[in-house]
Amino acid sequence: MDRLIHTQGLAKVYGAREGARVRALDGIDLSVARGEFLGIVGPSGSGKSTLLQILGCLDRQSEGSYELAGREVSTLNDRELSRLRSREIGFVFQSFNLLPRLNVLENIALPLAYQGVPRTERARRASELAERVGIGDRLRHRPAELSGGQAQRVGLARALAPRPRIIFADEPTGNLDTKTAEEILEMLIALHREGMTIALVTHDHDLVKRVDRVIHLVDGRIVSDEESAIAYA
Amino acid sequence: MRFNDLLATALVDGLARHRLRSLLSVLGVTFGVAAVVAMGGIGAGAKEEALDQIRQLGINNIRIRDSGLTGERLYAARRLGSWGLSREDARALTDVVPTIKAAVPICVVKAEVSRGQTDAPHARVVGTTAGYLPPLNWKPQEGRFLEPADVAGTRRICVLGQAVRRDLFGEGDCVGQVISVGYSPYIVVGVMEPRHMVEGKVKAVSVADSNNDVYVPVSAAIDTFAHERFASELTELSLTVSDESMLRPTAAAATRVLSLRHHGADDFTVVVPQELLEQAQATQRVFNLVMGAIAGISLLVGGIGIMNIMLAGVTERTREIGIRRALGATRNDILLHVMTESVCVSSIGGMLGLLAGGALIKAIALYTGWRMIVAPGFVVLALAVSSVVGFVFGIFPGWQAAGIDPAEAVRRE
Repeated sequence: MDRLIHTQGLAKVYGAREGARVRALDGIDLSVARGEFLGIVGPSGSGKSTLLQILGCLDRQSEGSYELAGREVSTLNDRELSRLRSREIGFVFQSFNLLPRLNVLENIALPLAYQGVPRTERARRASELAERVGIGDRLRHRPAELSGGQAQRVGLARALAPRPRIIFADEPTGNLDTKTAEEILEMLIALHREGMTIALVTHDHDLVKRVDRVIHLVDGRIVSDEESAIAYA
Repeated sequence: MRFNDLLATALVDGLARHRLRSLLSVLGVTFGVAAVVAMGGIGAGAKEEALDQIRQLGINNIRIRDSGLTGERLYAARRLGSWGLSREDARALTDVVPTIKAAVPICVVKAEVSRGQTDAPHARVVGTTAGYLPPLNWKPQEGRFLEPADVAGTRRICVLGQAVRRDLFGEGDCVGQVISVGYSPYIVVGVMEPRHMVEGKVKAVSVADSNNDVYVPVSAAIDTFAHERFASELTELSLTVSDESMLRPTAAAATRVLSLRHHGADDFTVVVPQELLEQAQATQRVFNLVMGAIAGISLLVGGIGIMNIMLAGVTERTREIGIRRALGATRNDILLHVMTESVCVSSIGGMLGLLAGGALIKAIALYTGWRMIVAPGFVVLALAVSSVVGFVFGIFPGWQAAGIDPAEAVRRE
């Protein structure tokens, strides 16, 4: 099995003082294979988002080891981490997190700008992606002029722009109505079929049924880790 | 991130966002730069003006003026055995002080200048020698100037300034004509070219309008005009010094020589125009210092204003910065982003200041009639200073922005 993510004894501790310490994550041992569609579920405050942020190299663990594509992440400096985020990782957020003063095209192209891709090349790739997620007719719109579903399509296109190895999605459908949520989910599933590795944090039980594998977090620990029955059904 | 992307981001993100707020925050820089530019303009103009004034008197020049004593003080001087400034003094000075290249006697006489019924009311009759002209960079337009033979022979000839010529002859021919100077006939042998006179602020070196002068041989001026009893022979001696660096020692030596010859009578003053210029510039320096301090304080206040606005902007955009970090921006990218914005804001303030300073210079020049120059050096300096202010005061906000924890920032709602 081609292992993309491997953690051992991963923990995240908040608070410096002895009495006020909170262990948001505790002893996470997790391996994710290339091409897997992983669902992370659990009640609020169970550490799902924290885990996703650490796996996405946005945050650092307090204890334990984390290897992404064979590299130990905790030894990397800010520059190397940023490079990793920029090239290997795509983020999709619940609240879309588009930059309000940039238009659709510029938002999608933003990760490429930080890779130093020239302007015309960025625009070309961004408009291709916009077509692909079905918002090719709204390239010059600002995020405020988009519906939730359209905004999340932009978010997805932006995550795909650097051609990442893995996409981390934190409740991507949480702010959408059922119909648009379904559309976004279909897109993620289609990406997965093309071989993309995806880690998805969600509350939604319908969603959970449609991923390969679900891990269940409670109080920062994995309490269950099971292959989904209907994968590739 | 590439530089042009950085610049575009800074302009769109930083400036277009809060135009009014950005504008207000840069006013300090604007005023500072305007002060620098205006200061430079006034300073450069004043210097140029003073230099012109000195050129008018001749370069490497020392002037010895007879004090023009009257009454008791004149008699006191004469009792000491001093006969006032004289041609003998000129000869002695050139003989004794080796650094004096020439000592030109000047004798200003009160005499009416007329031609028939027409007179030249402002004319000033100046007796001098051929040596008067060379240091002034001035030459006759028609005919010739005085020559040594004119002085030796006490010839009754004269050279007219432009204004006198116009008064007496209008546009008509004048060389070869006879005019009346102090009721004696004088033949006009030349007319000087018009001379632009600078009305300077350095009072002690101000001179009468040479265009109103009538030059006659000094010997004629002394011998043929009526003088007050016991009056000095000359009104002034103009010394030309071979080397600029010798001006002070030469002035000192000339003072000693004349004091001896005048038996200690205090009946002359030595003026070194160069020194007066230096004094004038010293006054200018005080003015520059004050303006510089104002400019400095303005720039400091402006810089703090910019820092303030940038810090507010960073706090406002915490989440955006987090998003940028999540998408691959390094700490360095964020630092540069904020600093570019800061430099842009400040430079725009600087350019506004440049315009304001230019307008100020125009306004002051119009109102006071001072000569003002927009010095290119100061323009460059002002722009450089304003970007440096933006750079320096962008460091702290940039550093703050770079320190934002992306994990926490994107979690914010």
